[in-house]
Amino acid sequence: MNTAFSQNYILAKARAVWGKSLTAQNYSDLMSFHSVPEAADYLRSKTYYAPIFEGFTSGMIHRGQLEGLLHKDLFDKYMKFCNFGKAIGNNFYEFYILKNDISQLLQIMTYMNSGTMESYIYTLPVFYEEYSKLDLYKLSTVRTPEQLISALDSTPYEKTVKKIFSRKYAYNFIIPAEIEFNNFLSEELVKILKLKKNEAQDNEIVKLFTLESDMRFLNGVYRLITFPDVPREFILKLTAAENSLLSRQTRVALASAQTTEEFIKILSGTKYKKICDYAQTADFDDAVKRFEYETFAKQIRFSTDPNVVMYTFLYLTSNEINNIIHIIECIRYSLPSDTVRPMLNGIN
Amino acid sequence: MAIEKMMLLRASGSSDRLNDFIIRLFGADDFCPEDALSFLSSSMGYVALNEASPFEFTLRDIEDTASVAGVTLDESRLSNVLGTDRTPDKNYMTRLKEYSNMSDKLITNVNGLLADIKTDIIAHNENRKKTIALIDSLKSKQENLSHFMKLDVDIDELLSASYLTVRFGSLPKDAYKQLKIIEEDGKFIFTPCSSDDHTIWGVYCAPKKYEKKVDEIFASLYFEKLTIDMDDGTAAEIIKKNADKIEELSEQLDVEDGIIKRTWDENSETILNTYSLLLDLQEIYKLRKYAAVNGESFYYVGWIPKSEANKDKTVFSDLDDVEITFEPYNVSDKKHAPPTKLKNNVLVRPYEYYVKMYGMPQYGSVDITSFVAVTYTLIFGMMFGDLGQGLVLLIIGALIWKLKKMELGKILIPCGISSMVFGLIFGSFFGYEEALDPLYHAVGLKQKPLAVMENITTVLIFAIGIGVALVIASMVINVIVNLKAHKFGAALFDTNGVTGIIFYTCLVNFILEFMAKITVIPNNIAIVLTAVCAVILYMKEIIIGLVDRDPNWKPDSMGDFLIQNVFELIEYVLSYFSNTVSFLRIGAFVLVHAGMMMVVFALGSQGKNIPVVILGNVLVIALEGLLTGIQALRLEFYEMFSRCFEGNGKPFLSVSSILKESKN
Repeated sequence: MNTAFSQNYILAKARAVWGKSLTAQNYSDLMSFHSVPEAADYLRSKTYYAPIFEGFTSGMIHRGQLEGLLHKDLFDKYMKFCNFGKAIGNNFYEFYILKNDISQLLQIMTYMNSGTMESYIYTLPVFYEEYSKLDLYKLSTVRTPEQLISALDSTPYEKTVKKIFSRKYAYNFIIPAEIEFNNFLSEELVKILKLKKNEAQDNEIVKLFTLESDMRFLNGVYRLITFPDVPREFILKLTAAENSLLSRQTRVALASAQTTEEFIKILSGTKYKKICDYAQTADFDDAVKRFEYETFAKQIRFSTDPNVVMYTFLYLTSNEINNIIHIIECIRYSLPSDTVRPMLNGIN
Repeated sequence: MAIEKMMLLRASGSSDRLNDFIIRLFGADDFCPEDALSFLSSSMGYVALNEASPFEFTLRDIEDTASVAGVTLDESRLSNVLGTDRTPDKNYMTRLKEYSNMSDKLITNVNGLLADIKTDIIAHNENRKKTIALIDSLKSKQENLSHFMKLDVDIDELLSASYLTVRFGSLPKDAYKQLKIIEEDGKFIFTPCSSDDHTIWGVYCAPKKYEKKVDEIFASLYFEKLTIDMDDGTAAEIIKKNADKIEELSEQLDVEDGIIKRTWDENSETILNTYSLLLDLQEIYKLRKYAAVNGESFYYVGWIPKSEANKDKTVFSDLDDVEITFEPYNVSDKKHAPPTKLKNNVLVRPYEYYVKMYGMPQYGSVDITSFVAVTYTLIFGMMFGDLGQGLVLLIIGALIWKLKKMELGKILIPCGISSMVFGLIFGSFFGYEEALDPLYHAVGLKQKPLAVMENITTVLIFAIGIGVALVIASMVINVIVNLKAHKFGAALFDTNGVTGIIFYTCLVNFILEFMAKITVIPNNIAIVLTAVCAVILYMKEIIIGLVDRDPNWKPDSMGDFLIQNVFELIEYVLSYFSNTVSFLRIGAFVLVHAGMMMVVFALGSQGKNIPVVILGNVLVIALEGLLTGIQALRLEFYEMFSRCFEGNGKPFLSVSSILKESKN
């Protein structure tokens, strides 16, 4: 098979599917509805989400079910690309599985941290179970870190989870877990792409992944700065991520900022200064999301690397699903559309 | 080949004789009603007759009763005639006359008849509705229960358990795996009974003390509850029982349907006849709106063709107490110009379709249908010239006319013949250029009269020549039209009048001399004539205004007038030029047709590949036929009509056509 031709197919197909994404008008229309079945009807009849409603009548669908269907749809779409990629020797799909698995592990750890592990079974993504390297049903029965480590036996995540639980934490272990998993994913990404260490920093996907990691870092630090009772040492732990497009010195300076104004001032001297411009007219959280969205949207249009296009497609489609879920939740709880509009990312 | 002369019919009489008068109008065949009020002075106290039809309610009542009975009022079984294509017979019209004058009594009788029928039908219909509702309800229960056929437990016993909560319902297939894990907690049991691609139906039981918690668990897994009524037996037994009941109710339903149908059928003849009669009476009321009334008397006005006047006098002869007069059109009465009805023979009549498309000629003006018939046919024939293809077109036209009754069919027949004639001249038979050579040799000709592709210049020049002739002909018609309308100024001095003809002819003369050294009018004379005509055209508004005694002949501003008319004069010259050159398309289409057949033959191995030749001919006939028809019509409308025809006449609308139009 002509690999270049096949790679181009992935590029073209991903962009074509993305081209059918929801427009500003679609979002406006969705926000005008007053019930979840109405919104479901609209998605069925006016958007490219029609196939997910096969076998359902719009009136039958619950909000939670709709969210599940949307996530499943994204997964199915992505797996189609991944399967094609696999057929031509492109193993990037493995990174997607790892990322999803990590996401599940973090969710389990969050439930464990809050002592509500029995609720995990209800949110378990059934459609994903057969692809995962985890036994999700088995994991739904764990209640302690020891049981978790035992359930992860002979999975790639065992070592990282052991490392997480080997330390004592003054607060919860979620933030350190996120950092450890982030480092793990970063290493795995380099392995999957078969990059040498000096090549990694120039690779587009690695940069995108690192950007996501930096955005989580900036958001995390900014939020923690607003809480006066959080010790400085705890915030500095966030700088432990091994990959970043910011220098360690800059990260430490940001984490050491006493006020949000100081934080913004330091950030405006870095490559992410555009976030500071956006933050002048919006919340910092929204400014970060906007910056991230724009970076990914640019990549899907201009990149010639099929893996990059697939990766950005995944991000942008997830973003779209999050937007839809925000709207559905506001409809469900009868909130005005003005409330939901600021939550939507990437619409004009 | 003219416009029918019209007579004005005036009728007046007692108001209660109005319907009698109107019914006779249908027998009068060609009567075009006018708004009577416009013919009367306001001081006479007449007002327009605005009334609602007294039959409307009864007609709707019949339709509603039929609808309740589940019956359609079949149009083919109706016998109404007014506003339809059915011909009224004498007896029917007599009956109609009788009924038209006793509408109150008629309505009372009809309502009485309907009341009896309706009571029966409505009563049975209510029973029917109840039965249908019961059947639907049982079917819905069957649908629900069908998912639980596997459940070998008495439903009644299950639902009446004191210490158990029992729920029937369904949940997504994906959620079932999660349920199996949660079930290990031991708070409930879920028994799956049936499934499809997406859903599992089943029943769960939980101790009453866990009812709330278990309901929450299932709600989180999107469990949809189904209402199952308490009933003796298992699901399968209940389904069997319900099926028997449904059958019983269906039989009951059939009985009700039968009764309703019988009630309707017993009276359908009467109902349909009454309905038809009422429809006709309704039509009469539609024509009453043209009348004017003054308390006890009515006044009615309309136009009839002069040729029908004697016949119509007979129709109204038995109306002693209605005064009817016939008078010719008063030319000085500009407010009430008669409608235009074209009168043409069978050969020319099809072309009225094109003339009416543009507009109707004014009454008293010239009917240009004959002109269109000749010019259109010739132009079409020239552009489509092929003996074989013309024959096909003729056959198609005949079929369209016979089978589909389309006006276009009647036009295609002479166009087909014309194409055949020109096909003989151009020597083309389905694209075979040599096929007719034996015929030419037989009549003593060495070859075809005109080989199109070898005489391109001739063809084009000929086309221009036709254009010149037709433009002049159009202007001549315009002169005649203006003379008939006593507009002598316009006839003589307009751009399309005598002055225009002379001016145009002189310009053509100059071009002929320049291009081909042919002089028709000596140069000196032509120059003088051109100059004089140019001056006249430059000042034409003033001259025409003075001659035709127009009070507004003087321009508001002389300066504007002088400057503006320079450009107007240039525009006149350009329009002569463009109109004439437009006829080049005749020549162009002759060449196009020949060129297209050349391509067909090139693809068809010079005519040896018969299927290709046939297909090519079909395509050319379709494409060229359409193009030629449109282009010929375009020449008629833009190049000729614009010079001599305004089309602002009022069409003659007879009583029957008014009623047909109102039905559509």
